[in-house]
Amino acid sequence: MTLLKVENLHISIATQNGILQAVRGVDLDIRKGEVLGIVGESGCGKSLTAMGLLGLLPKSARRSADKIEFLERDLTLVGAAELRAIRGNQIGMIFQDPMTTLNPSYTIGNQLMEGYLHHRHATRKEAEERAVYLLNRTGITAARNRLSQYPHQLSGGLRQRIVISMALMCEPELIIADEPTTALDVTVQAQILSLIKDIQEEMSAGVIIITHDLGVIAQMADRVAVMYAGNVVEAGPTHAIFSAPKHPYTAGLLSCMPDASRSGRLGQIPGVVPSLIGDMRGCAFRTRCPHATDPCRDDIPVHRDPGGHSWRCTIASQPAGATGS
Amino acid sequence: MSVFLLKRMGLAIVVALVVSLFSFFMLRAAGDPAIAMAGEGATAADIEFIRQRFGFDRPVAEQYLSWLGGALSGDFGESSYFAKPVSLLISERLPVTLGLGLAALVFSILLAVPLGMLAAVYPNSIIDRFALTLSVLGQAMPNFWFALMLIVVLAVWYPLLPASGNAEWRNFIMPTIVLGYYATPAIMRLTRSGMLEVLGADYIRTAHAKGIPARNILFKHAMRNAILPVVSIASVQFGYMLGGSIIIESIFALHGIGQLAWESISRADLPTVQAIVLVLSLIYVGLNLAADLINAWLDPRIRIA
Ligand SMILES: Nc1ncnc2c1ncn2[C@@H]1O[C@H](COP(=O)(O)OP(=O)(O)O)[C@@H](O)[C@H]1O
Ligand SMILES: [Mg+2]
Repeated sequence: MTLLKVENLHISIATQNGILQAVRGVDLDIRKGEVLGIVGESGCGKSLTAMGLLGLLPKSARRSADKIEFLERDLTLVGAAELRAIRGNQIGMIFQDPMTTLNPSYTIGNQLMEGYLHHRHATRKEAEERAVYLLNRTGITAARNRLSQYPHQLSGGLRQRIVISMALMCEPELIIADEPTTALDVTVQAQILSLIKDIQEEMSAGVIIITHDLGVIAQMADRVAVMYAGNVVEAGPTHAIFSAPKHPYTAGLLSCMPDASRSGRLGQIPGVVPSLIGDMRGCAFRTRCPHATDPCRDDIPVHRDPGGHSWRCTIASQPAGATGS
Repeated sequence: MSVFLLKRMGLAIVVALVVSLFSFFMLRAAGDPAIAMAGEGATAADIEFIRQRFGFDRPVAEQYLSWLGGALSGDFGESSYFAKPVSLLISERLPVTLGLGLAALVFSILLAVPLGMLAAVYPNSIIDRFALTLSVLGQAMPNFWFALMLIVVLAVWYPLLPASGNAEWRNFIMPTIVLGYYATPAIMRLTRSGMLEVLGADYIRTAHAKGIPARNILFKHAMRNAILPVVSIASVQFGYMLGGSIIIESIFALHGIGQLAWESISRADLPTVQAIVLVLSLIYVGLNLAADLINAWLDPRIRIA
């Protein structure tokens, strides 16, 4: 069953240099109980895409989409109050930097319980029990005592567990995690990832995990969407993407991975990302693509194979790993 | 918390002592106080009498210590003009000034904080422009001029308010507006910039992502953090207002400590001037201490180290 279906999402931001078209027609599709990974270099529009789904964009941003369908409701059409009733309740968010995500002036307990009290009209006692349960579940010791502590008293790893607990308070159907481990120590990263995975399986929630780390994708995602310059250039089942990438950009990313065990950050593909200001015709990757030809300047067709694998490229079938660097 | 408190209190006491020391020596360094107090046409015998009567013949350090000893027990000596204990003069006048200062502070906070917040929530809107205009005007207008304009309009053209005296609360309306408006620009700009910064913070986005209504986010998550710098500046502004009260009280003939200070300076009433400087600096130091405590109470990062 489809949990979330996004069609043709555009986000533009007014900047001093002109209109920055940061997201340029993204399509996403996530089923219940599935983990969708969104991967791409920094600045390709992953965070804006995630924020755009829930209308959490900065004031200078404009969003348009053919539809953002969440559990049969089109989020582009619902009113502000209905959207608020979905946020934090049916869709939970986990952000990148646990040091700044929590309000320094309020206790952990206050911030954990706030959304639950608001959405569920629960008593404080119930909210507190739920908070303690989740703190225990996310591996926090002395959970009840944590409720009266302040964010600055806790380490980054602990805070991220609290942010995760906070996202889970109302048992959301969808969890959006935007680079949930990027700001953490390497040792803590693996723990947090497996925690998210465990909880996702336990709650059979849908998860969108955003990362620039293909290792995270390999560990977590059932399906992957690869983004480049504001667009999804390739999407499909994780194993298909890793074993037979179709888009030269994906192939380049994979060949840049440091070792065969397939873990590590995105490496360096030569060249620079084109400016996102103003219109752009043709393939955005062509300036860095070893296979670029004249047709890459025109509109790019989308190819699909029966396994749910799709890619935007002039080349209908790109042999795996064919790109050198 | 208690360590923080003790540190702050210790510092406050040191600052107050240093100020008293400075004022004491400065007033003596400005010339022979006995000659100044005796006034023009005084004979050498008069001057000598004053010198002995007020102890100016003793070493300055000794004078200071005995003055400080007296001040600590609330005895500031005798006014050379009124022939009354200075402590009595101050206790008569101080409530007027503190009342005026407090009213002015409340007035400026009530004006500046909501306006600054609205300006931050709706940047570049009409309300933002209005706030900016008000704050530029507040800075451009000398407050004695503003006071005179108010008197012309509200006491002369439309006789709604009394122009002078401190017989009733209506006497305090115009001085409160003048003095309060003086502090408004600084408080408003700080509220606006603090609020703008906080509204862009990650934890505000978190609160939105939790589905909390915008109003709650503004008043709970944003205001608490945006108000921190405002508390500090409000105490500084209160100090400025005590200074400004010298002019304002003179214009509106309010018998407060500012007016007393002004008159005592022109009368070379050294004991009174000295005592006023000490009392005002104590109040100022106490305010800063209060601001620190309020901030510590508001901000757990200060409270819980
Ligand atoms: N508030 C903003 N104002 C201006 N530009 C922004 C803003 N937020 C993001 N951008 C720009 O939009 C592009 C996409 O940003 P983002 O979605 O954060 O990328 P990612 O999460 O993939 O690293 C980047 O070029 C970034 O500089
Ligand atoms: Mg990002």
